[in-house]
Amino acid sequence: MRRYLYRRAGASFITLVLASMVVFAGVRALPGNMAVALSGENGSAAAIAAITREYGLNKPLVVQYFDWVRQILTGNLGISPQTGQSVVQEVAQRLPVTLELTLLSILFGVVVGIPVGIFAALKRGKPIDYASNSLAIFGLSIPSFWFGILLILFLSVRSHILPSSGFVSFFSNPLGNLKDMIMPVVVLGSGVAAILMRQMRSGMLETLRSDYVRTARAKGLPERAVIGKHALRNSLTAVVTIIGLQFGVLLSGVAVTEQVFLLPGIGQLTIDSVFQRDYPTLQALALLIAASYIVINFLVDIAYSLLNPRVRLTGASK
Amino acid sequence: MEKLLEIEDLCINFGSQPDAVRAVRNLNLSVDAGEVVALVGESGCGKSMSALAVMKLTPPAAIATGSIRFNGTEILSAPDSVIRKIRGREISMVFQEPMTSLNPAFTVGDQIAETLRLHLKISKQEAAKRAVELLSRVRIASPEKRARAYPHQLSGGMRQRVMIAIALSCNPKFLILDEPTTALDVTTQAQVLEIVRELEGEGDTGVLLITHDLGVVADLADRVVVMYAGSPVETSDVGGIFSQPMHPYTNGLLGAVPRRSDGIRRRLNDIPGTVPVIKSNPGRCAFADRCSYAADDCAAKEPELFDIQGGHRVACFHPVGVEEGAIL
Repeated sequence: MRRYLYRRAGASFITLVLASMVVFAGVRALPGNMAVALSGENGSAAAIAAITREYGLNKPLVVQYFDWVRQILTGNLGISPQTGQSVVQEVAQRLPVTLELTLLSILFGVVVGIPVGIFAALKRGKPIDYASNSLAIFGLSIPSFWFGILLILFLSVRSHILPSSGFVSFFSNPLGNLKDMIMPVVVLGSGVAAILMRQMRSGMLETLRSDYVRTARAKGLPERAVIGKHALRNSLTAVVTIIGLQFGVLLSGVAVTEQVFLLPGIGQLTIDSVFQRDYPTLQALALLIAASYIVINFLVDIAYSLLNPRVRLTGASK
Repeated sequence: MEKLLEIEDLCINFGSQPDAVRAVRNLNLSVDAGEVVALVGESGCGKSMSALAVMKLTPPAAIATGSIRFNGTEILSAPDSVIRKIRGREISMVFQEPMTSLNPAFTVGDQIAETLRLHLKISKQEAAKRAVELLSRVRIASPEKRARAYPHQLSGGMRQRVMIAIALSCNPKFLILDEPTTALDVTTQAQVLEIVRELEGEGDTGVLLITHDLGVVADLADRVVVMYAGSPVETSDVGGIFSQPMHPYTNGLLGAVPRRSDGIRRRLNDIPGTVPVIKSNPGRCAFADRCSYAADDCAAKEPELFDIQGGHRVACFHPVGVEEGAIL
């Protein structure tokens, strides 16, 4: 198991290095130029030249890349030209909002999707199965911005149950914070719930047909143990993978929902940075998202090996 | 005196009348304590379905009627709570597929201990200890180490022995072996059969042995029921089946067994055709199309089991070796 972890950690590090190169190249390949964007519509040649010099944009790209790597290693990602704040500070302010939104959405998806998926599998072909399937298709196909607007319309504008937008920190006002989060979490989480429900249902149906579930019944185990222990554990592997993937998808895909509910997360920051050609912030955000993908994948692999002994032991074999 | 297991007029159908497909029709069978009864027939003849019915494990779409009495309990109508106390405790089953019958997510020791803890209400440590003992009883070398292994780390033969260990764990009164050696190689087969034979020698466990391997039947069984397309076609003690097979199908099965004296050049005898899918009331002998003894009456009526001599019963209008007109 330990060897398996080392190997996976090494592979993750290499992936991260490659990702940093892709991020850097990707940001530089954006049409336009930071210096031009920053100096405004009618920026003078001198102003452009000054910004170019300040951010080292005249150096060869390879040198710029290594400058950036040095910055990452020292933990100082430079100053954002759009706000004048340090990039680290800027991202650190925004990240908790997005992280909270993402985690709560995943939680919503898990709490709703997994039990409904199991239930649908057990009641296969019954009305409850069809109902939950239809609901899942609805959850998957409804565009998040539209769903968000509908929620705002009914829950805020018409009935004033929830605030339509805005954000207070959990630490200054926990209840207010959760109230702000309900609608965005439902919008993002319903998609996750739908995907997890579908996956859980099909995984469960497959394991319920397996010979070892029949063996479990033949042992005299009550149905609760047959489902909850023997079938669930084996149908969870695919679900865990999807939870991990969804985490990444949400982290990089919250921009629209953050816009709709005016949440000051990294999604909003990303959009602003793209328009401003704010290279330092953009690079930091892209690298952050790539790094979280990698970390999540690593965690998924660990969870996977805990659920499935075959993965763990083949990884550890000589 | 009531037998340990008594199956009377067991019918298992899939789907509803009149389009029902019949898996088993009018199976009558009894097994006494300490007795081995073999259920013989080719794939799809209803053997496994009958065995699953004894455990009340038939798939939800299967409709079973008739009666299965085990030790005074009517299985088919018993509530789940009663059945769960019988499964694994009083009746155990070893399945045909050792590769897939164990749960890949748990160690084999855990899977044996689970049954022990469920039925005997013993501590975790005690169950783990007994699991190791059971592994050595089914002749698994270094049982302490193997108990911590996952199924995928074991060979098919070892997995089947683990399945047998699970089946034996609570000293059941009745054991169902569903083709226990079919998926195994010849050497492993012999070892597994040795374990079963040993078990027979030491106790009064009743065994229902399902197989299509006539060698295994000759080796272990006291009595034999031959099934064809869901119906029993011949039942007898084991000697009668081998010395005087009366149903043309049994006769054909025995003819298909290779003999050493045949030499390598002879083609094996076979029974032409395949097992038909039988609707619930065919009104004719299901074997007639493949039978070289078939006559007009075989297509007019479905034969019932007749007692021909001393408990040797055959469902055929033209039994092999019995003179025409000897039965009506």
